[in-house]
Amino acid sequence: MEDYIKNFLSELNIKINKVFWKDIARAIKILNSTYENGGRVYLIGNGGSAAIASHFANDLNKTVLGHKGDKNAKRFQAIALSDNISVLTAWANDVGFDCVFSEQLKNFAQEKDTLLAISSSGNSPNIIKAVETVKNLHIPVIGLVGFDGGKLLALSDAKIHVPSFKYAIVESAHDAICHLITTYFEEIIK
Amino acid sequence: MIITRTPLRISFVGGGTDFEGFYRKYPGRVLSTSIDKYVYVTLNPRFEGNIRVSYSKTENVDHWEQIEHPLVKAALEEVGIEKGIEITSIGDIPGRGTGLGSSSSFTVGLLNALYFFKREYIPPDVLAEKACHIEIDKAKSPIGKQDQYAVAFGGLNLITFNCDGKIEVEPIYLNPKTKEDFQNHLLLFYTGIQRSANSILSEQKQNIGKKFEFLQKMSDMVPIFKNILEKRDFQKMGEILNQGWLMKKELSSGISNPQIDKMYSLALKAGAWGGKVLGAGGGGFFLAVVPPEKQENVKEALNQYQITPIRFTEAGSKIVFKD
Repeated sequence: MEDYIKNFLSELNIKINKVFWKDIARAIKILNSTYENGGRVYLIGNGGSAAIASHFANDLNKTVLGHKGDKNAKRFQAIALSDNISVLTAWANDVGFDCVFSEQLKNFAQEKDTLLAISSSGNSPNIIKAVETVKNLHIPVIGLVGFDGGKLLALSDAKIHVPSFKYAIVESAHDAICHLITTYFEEIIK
Repeated sequence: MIITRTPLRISFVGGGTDFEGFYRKYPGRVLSTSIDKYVYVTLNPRFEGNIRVSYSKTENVDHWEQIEHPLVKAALEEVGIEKGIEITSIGDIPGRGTGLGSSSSFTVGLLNALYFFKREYIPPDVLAEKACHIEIDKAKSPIGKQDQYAVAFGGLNLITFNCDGKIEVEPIYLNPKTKEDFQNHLLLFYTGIQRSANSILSEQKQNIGKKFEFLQKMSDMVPIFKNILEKRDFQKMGEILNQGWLMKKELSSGISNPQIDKMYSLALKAGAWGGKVLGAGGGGFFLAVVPPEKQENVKEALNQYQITPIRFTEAGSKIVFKD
């Protein structure tokens, strides 16, 4: 059992260390620019990645402020598009699941915004369609991917690639990197 | 209606090496950051069909060829908009000759708005190069290329001007503590002198041959400055700025004057580690590197000069509103 547990932790450690620090720094710069410009950050993902999107949206909107709700600081405007069940199911039911994010982006997306897309395979059709939609507006895309990176890796402006083929490793690493970014903004937002 | 927001910039080291006359022979380098002071350009279709341009003055003309403002005129020609447009600009720091790169911020912001108006997307590197073309080739401003790149990209960058003409913008990623400490060591004073950069820069441009070795040294200082910054040695940074300033004063006779020299020596005496007059020199803003415990002293010594708080920023020129 000890081996089993240690193997997982060591594999996670090895894979997360393969992410290039400059790619994370680039993602932070993009998020920072969006924050300065008063733009929104849209987060998308399916399944476990949808959970990461919700979690990170919460961290950007609230955690970076610390515990003081009255803190007089400029705030992030982060929206996890997988959180709105009625809109999501409306598009999925009426048109198809591949457009659940792209159609929501057509309601909101402006030039000063950013899309953060999370997909372990990098190939989820609804994620790729959403990226293509914002590319038309020249909105920067931060891609959190695993496996071989898939199509999302090529389409992203900041490419956070955890090169593992195991969902558990990829998603754990993505979560940790989102927390790293949260910590960064917690330090700079006064 | 379209509104673009473009930051102003502070250049720490390497100014003067961004002239083509220099970097075609030896690579030029500049280290600069965008700051939280902006130039806003608004653009709207004009109901009357003519052109209205509003800046420190207002122009009402029928066709772009009649516009007096050299940058607006050249930009409209470049983008291919003949008439039927209204352009206004507002700056956080008004006035000319601040040394914060405002004319390039205006040009980049204007081009960004004009291309968006025409539904054409221009990425930051192309936007910067087009702004250089407008300012240097068309409006004949005797300036280099650092400002256009600094504000089209935004952030703290090391910009390299290669001999083959290729320009590279390398972001410098600082950890939050270093970035915070760096900012907390800087004080920005307004000299109260509004100057035109062009006469200083024209002389400087003509002197590139004579001062070639100086410029080489200034370019070589840039990577050293970057290392020192990453090591958080702010005292050494101040000393390098001081050396750079002493060298820069040799480039053109108008870069300093008795008032600026006095201001500088007062700051050093009160505890500053170094500093420089921003941009071309001769007036505008004076940046001092001062350890936090000496800042009250320095503010007191320079209390006749207005102080402007600044923060570093990451965003380059951006469409912040469209309707």
